[in-house]
Amino acid sequence: MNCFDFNACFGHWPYWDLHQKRPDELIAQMDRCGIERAAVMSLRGLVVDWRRGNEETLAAARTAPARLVAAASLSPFDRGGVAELERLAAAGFRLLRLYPQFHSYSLASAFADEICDAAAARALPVMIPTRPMMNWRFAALPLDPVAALAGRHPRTAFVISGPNYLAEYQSLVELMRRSDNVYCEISALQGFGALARLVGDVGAGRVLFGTGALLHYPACNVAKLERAAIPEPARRAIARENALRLLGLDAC
Amino acid sequence: MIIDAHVHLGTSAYFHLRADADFLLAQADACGFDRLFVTELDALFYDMTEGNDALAREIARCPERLIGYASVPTPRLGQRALDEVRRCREVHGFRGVKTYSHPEASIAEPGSLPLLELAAELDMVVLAHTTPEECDWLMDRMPDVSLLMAHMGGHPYARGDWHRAVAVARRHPRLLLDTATSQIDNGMLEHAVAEIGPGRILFGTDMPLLDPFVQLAKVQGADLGADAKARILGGNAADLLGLA
Repeated sequence: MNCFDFNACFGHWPYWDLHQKRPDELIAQMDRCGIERAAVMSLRGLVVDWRRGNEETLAAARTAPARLVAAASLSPFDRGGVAELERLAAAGFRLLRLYPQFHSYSLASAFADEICDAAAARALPVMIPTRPMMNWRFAALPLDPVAALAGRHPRTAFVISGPNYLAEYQSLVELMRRSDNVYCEISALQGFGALARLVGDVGAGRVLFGTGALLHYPACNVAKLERAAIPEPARRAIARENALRLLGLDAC
Repeated sequence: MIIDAHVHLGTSAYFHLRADADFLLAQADACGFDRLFVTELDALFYDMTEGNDALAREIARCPERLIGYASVPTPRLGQRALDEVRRCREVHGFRGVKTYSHPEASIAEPGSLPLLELAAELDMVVLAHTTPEECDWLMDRMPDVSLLMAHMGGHPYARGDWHRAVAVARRHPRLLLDTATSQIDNGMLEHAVAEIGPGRILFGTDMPLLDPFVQLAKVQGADLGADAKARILGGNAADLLGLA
């Protein structure tokens, strides 16, 4: 299947030694799984230094422009404000990822509001992973502050990743039903038939394929999408069409 | 042969699921699973006798594909639990015991040991929803039981720590690890195989809670040799249960 992975990364991970770390190794994994393109960021930007992480991400995307799309991260630390966002957008970043748990700020802060306004002005989607990957060591960010942020910024497109099942899933569906500007990425949804249920609950138009690679096995989410009991047009939309539209990218 | 060693039958309001044998076998057919090793939810969380009997009736409809765990909510049920496990083995032919450990009722206490001792006597594998630390405690005292650590650390109570699960399995040669978990952490299976070999890792899906296609892809997509994948997907369970 021709897929666009909305949630990929490369780099080092402090919790265990990843067998693949480099952008070329990510691309090799994409090739194994039939993934054409991916929105990526360096894990350095998540874990220690968003500024250097963004530099690494941009370098990787420029090395493989047909395969990798640059996703930036920002935090209030080290002057990560609107001016920096505009610089990043001009440099070629197509997506912003916010990690308030990892970067120690609140989604109710002035920083978050200013960034979301600026992102809307630049047509940059704002992705908020409620956990960096589906590993139980990471407590999930509650969706209430995300919902409040999405409500305050109706012109900004938000992409939620990280919800898994039960109450997390129900909160996600409720948020997407009342907020047309909220999308979701599926890499952490592990419940039985979860993707088909999600499409039934909110439609396919705001659902995005993602793997969480290189932190996750990418094959798992490819299987989730390929074997989901959903109509083929919905599968194609989730696989890549929604992502290309949201990011303003042309189909290759 | 693919054997799913962690399957649930029954109803759970908490997990929003309801599954009978027909439903599970339809999923197994879609996934290419040959056999399912099944525990019943009513037995595991409410009335063990009623639930285990319900499971036996479902197994009777398709005995060539379904294998039963005798479910026991907690070893703290004492002699009642022992009697139930023996009954399930002798009357229903169940091959395993499933039990649960909670922060509020940990399995790592002396009162659990008779249940494990009985399982060893009856040649039953014990699938236990526990932490690695609890398995370590149990295996120090019962080294001859075949204890299968559900989720290999990949559940909230165990903080998702599969490194710890593997480290404990290195210490105990009869401790087994079950692959069923929401976690699809890149490298978790390669790490386990590198540390303990492929012979003590059993494929499980936790269906109908988790997506079996995702769980299968975790093994099939791992960077492991074909022999190791075959052991994990079914060979180890087949050996453990004496299946052809």
